[in-house]
Amino acid sequence: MSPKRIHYAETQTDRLSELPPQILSKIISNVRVRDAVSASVLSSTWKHLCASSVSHLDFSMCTMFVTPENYVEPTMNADNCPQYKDLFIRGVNQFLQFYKGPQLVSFKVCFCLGRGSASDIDQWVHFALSKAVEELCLDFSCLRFPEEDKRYRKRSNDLYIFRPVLLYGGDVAKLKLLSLRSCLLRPDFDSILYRCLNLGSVILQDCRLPVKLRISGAHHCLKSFGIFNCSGMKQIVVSSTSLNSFEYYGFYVQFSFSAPNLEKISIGALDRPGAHYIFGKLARDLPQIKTLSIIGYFRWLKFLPKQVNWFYPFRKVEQLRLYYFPLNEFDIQKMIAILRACPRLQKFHLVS
Amino acid sequence: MSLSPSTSKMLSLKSSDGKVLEVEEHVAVLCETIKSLVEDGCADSPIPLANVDGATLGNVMEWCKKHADQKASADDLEDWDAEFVERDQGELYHLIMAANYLNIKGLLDLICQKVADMIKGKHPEKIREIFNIENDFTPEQQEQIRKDNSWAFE
Repeated sequence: MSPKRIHYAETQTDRLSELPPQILSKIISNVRVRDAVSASVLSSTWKHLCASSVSHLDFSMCTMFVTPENYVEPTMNADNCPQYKDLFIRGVNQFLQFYKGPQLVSFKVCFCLGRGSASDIDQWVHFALSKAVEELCLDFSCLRFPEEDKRYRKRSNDLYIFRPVLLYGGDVAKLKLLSLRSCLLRPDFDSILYRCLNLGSVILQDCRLPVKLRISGAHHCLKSFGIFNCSGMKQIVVSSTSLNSFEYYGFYVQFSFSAPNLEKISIGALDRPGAHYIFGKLARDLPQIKTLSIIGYFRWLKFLPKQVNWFYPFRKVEQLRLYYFPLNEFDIQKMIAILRACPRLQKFHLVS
Repeated sequence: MSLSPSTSKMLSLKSSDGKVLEVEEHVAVLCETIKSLVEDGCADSPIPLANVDGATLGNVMEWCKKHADQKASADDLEDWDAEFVERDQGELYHLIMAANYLNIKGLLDLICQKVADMIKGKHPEKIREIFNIENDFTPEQQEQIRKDNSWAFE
């Protein structure tokens, strides 16, 4: 008999319930909402555990409706959103009624919802803030490649309006991460950056933004800001002393930067003005950047001239990452020009 | 034998049932509890581990040894871990308690995830059967809980 595999007598005891409460809550935090609810009918110990120890709430098609019996990938697509919508909303509302925990680490909702469900969503946000949540993620996109498939993209008058004032009724002191997808933001959005003093990271994806988006704030915690495939904005004004990382992916808009500690930039070049901005003006706006990632579908390389002296140098860039897609025709002269524009380069990644 | 910085120093660990295990220091210090003893200079005599039996201690140190190996890749460790947790409930229970007592976060996370995976996607009756959980609810109470979260039981 191998010494490793000594079998303890298989007793008919309930080993699981004998575990210390902090371990049980660790286990229950690792299961999906649906499983936590299943476990709550087991015994009073488990009911108490499920209603109070789950610190990460994640509501999605996958965590709520996928069971081994119905598990098939295409259950999650836009076509059956309406079918599940009412059940989803009722499920979240019921669970929040059931939940008695004092504090939440993260609160995530990922489901195809829009303005019609605003009163429910507002209450969820309010709930999360009442539990001093640290990470708030609201994703109301349809799950089937919404950025590529316009059929599933909501019209802006269907988008849920995220109102910053919702947050202020709750405890925003702990909020560290705010991630919004398929929401509509009004010009008052930037008040968040003044009111949530510990907010370190903001991610906006597939959102409809105000014409002028201001990323500014008086506090020192905001470290990273990402804007992906958003629409509606014409100008982005970044003015922050704490911001360290900025990511932008989308069509060119007018940028203005006043961010002395911004050292990491990841930027997508989708069009000619975007490509020209990156190699012509970005280095002048942000001479301090050390890490630069350039992401581009389509033929962004084509938009650049070959002359080396056209490129404005990134004097401090040490790491350069170029995402290079097969649609780009490889042009060695332009590649050399890009590399020459980074005289202090230490690491170069060409990602295809 | 490879020349890792730790080949020289060995620690003696004594289990609750009196078994003594010789373990390289850089392996044993994956246990935060042992690490703080070493740092405080209290690790000379066999270290008594009153809450861990010999067989479990052997299993724990097997995990620590694998995870102290600098050459192991992340993929390699993942596969190895998946095999490591394929045990009966009794063994898992002792491993969880030992990982908690010895304060090994990685091992504790691993086994909690394994137990969570055993719950995932199962009907309450099945979970009850697997873990022998006694039902202390009256049928009315149970009905009320199902009603409160009716979305999950439809």
